[in-house]
Amino acid sequence: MFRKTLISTVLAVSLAGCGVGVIGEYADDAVSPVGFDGPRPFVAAPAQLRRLTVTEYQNTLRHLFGADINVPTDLEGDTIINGLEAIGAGSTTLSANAVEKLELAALDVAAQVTVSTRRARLGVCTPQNAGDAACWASLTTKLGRKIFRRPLSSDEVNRFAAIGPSATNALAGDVWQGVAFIIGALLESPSFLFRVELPEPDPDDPTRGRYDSYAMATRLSYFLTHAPPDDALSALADEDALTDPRTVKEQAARLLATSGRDIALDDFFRDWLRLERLDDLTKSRDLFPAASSELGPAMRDDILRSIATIVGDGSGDYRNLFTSDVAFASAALGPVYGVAVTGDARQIQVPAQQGRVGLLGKPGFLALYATSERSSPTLRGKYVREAVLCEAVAAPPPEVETVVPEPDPNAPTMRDRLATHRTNPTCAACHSMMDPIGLALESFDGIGAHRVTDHGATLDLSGNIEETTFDGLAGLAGVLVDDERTTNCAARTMYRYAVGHVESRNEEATIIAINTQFAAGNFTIKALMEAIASSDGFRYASLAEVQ
Amino acid sequence: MIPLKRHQLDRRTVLRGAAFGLGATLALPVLETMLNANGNAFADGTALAKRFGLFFWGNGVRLSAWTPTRTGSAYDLKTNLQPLAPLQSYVSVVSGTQVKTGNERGHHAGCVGFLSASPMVPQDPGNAGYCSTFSKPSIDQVVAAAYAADATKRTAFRSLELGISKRVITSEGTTLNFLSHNGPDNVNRPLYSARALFQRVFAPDFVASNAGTIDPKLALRRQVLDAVHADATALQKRVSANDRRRLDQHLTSVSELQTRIAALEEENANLCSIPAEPGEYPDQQGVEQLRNLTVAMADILALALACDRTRVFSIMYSGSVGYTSFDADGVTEGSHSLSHDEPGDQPELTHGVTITMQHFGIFLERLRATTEGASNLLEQSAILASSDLTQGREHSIDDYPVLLAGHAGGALRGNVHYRSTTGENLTKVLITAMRAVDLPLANGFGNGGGFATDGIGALEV
Repeated sequence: MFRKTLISTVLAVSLAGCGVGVIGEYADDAVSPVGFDGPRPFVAAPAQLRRLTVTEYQNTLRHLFGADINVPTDLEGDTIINGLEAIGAGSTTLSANAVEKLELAALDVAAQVTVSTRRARLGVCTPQNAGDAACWASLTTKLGRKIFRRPLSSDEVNRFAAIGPSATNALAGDVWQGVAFIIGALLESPSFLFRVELPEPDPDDPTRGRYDSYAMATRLSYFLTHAPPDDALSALADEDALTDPRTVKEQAARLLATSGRDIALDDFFRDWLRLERLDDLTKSRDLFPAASSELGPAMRDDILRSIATIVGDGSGDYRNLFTSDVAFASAALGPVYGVAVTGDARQIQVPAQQGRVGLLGKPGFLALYATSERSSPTLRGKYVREAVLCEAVAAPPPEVETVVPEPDPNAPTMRDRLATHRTNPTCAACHSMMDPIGLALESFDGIGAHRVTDHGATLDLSGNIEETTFDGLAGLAGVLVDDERTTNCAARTMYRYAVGHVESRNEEATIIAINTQFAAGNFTIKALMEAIASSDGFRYASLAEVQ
Repeated sequence: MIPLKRHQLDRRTVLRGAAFGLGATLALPVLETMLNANGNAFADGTALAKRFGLFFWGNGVRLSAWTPTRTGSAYDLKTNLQPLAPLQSYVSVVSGTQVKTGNERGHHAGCVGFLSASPMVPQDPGNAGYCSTFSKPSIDQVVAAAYAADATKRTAFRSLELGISKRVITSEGTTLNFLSHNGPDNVNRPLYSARALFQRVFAPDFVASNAGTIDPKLALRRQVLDAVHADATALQKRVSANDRRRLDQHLTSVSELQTRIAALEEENANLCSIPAEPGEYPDQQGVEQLRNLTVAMADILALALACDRTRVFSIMYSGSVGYTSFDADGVTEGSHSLSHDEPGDQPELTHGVTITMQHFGIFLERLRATTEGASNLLEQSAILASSDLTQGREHSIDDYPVLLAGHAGGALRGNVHYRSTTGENLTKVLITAMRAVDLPLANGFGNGGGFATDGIGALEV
């Protein structure tokens, strides 16, 4: 019936002749880590600096200084690498322009939080004057602990505290200007702008490294709540209690019971599904009367609200994302769903005859993976392979004509027009992975509206993934939820999001363990997040690169 | 304190009242009285500054509408290049050269090959979606680094990055997302808003006021950055080699900002009075205002160059694999799908390239209209323009479509169509452009198959 093992997946896709980077295959090694002898033993990845993403930066400022401050918005955006901004945060740099913006942002926030109505909130001493060395040191120590997410060394305290008297003297003896410039300096520093998570030798086996308690506090809090460590977590870090796996598990469970979890989940789905492109969705207004500048954002809201409804507090089954019929439409989106809606978005009942279920039936997905004038079975199939099944598809070879013929009476449907993809063996090697998935979605046009014919011809919605055949979107969704690649891919993607890099083959063992716990937890998102937070890959780091 | 260049100190307030808008000639920071009798150099013999620029558009061309039939001077202009007719004396066309750094991935390979003469770095670990980045800096940053290391050529901004169409691909790594690279995964993002560019270059935070007093906060900001610098340096000792490189970039960025703030504290630092803030050009009903934005960006770029805020720029007009459409000109489908799907001679794709050249012409015309003594900014510039591949339909990278605009202070001929009949390395054009703005490149340029030692003599004076 269905392929149940990673091994057969590798074989199946390799046989198709489009074998780049399928599950369990790595660019640095032709040999699968999940070979016939089973997985390799786990070896931890190196630690990496991770810049706070824009939303992490803004969230962090709110948590440090209160929800009422005006958080800076004029910041350089995040960069997607290997599908996730979370991975880009671990590999990209801060450009000259980014540093300019962050300098102005830091000074602006520092000025806001030292105004007379807010300064008491900082909970620090008030320096008597520029010469009040004890107070300057004390407030730098206290603010530095919060802002750097670790205690400052005495050198650091001296370095930052010295700014206070300078600023006080330069600015008419105003000690709060001194405090503001200290806060500005801390907020401009890489120790704040990057998550600095460093390993220490594991006392149980000094050849391997584990993240220290301060690192674990930030890893747990940013992954599970998208915010800096709260007081309880910071206290445990100060006690060096977060290298104990039981404490980590308890804290993960505690954080998953907070409202921060919803913010973190929103961010994960936002990062994974890449919905920002909907903001400038470009569709032919001649061919699609429903096209408008409000449409793309309405599509994005539909997807995010539906996910929030289905996933709820994290105790819902992840696979329901592919089968649920929850939908939200505003007046702009109603016509695409074929449902009359006036005004703002509300939950709607989509007519059952559309056979529209799950994320892959969302107009936002169907419209994004299409051209401005028509549907694209290839783009839709590629998305399912990459984002849902975690299988990469090779780039088209150079010097191959890629033109898709215009519809004509002998070839009215996309199935007809893409015939070359099946008959030319060079094309078929990869297109046989993509087109048969996308062709099952042809009952939805280039903007995601339901249809039963294309250019007058009745649609054939048969499709297949390897040898498993299905009919239409509902058939595809049923196959996907029965395929363990779907849940494995969710776990793999969230692992990458949590650790900020694409796993090396040496981390495959930890992903397999996470998958097992995900399944044992009935595929709830909560079970997955807990499994990742307490996994070896999350807690250990290589010592090789440590100075 | 950073000593300012001698001739800059005499350039005060000359842009005051400068009118915005295409065609208006600006009053200039370089005054006639500062120059020699011919107006082509400073009185003491110092040459006028040279400028270097890149202009990039995505998804290639249709060669039948691009390549001139005649070679040599006074070449014929096919449809795509007709908009550049008034500027032909400044524009050379190069055809027949090839990207020699490989074509392992359509679009990606050409971007990296053209912009850096070096192979791309594929980023396909495991089963993650494919993407790529640059192995070496793009050539705007090669020039920027050389100028930053030379006290007579250093400017407030090492370089400026502009973008016009926002319909770029963000999900396939830095190669498709950004033009200007300092190295792998290390980019200088373009600004897509004329106002944002204006604020970066001319905002009060970065340009001294006329008040005659020095804001004491400037020195404090530098002191704060000293602490930031120390924090980054201390952190470098504890992290991996790759993270040390990332922090190196951070330190470079911090130093540049400190230098700029220090310049504000210099007496008489006000070189140009601040022009009026430009408008915003947001999408209207989902349609980009490409032309209006181009005009506004060209104005600010010309001012930034005239005021010597920078000598290096890059313009990412549209992205590789990008889905820019030219709705105002009747092309409503995105350029990437047109490049693959449009049958026959691809009239819609071709029309989009013609509009792109019109808009390139707006930049060039703005620079030409900005005089500098007897010269003008286009006369002083070398600007390379090209795309991510030759023809999108086949993902080809031979017979690359390349323009080289500007006379680079007399180093470039202009008005030449050079056609390579032997499939020469595209890097030779890059070498010609960079040598024209005084980079010696004594040991050649490029890496792997992209390496070359010679320029193309036919383009040079």
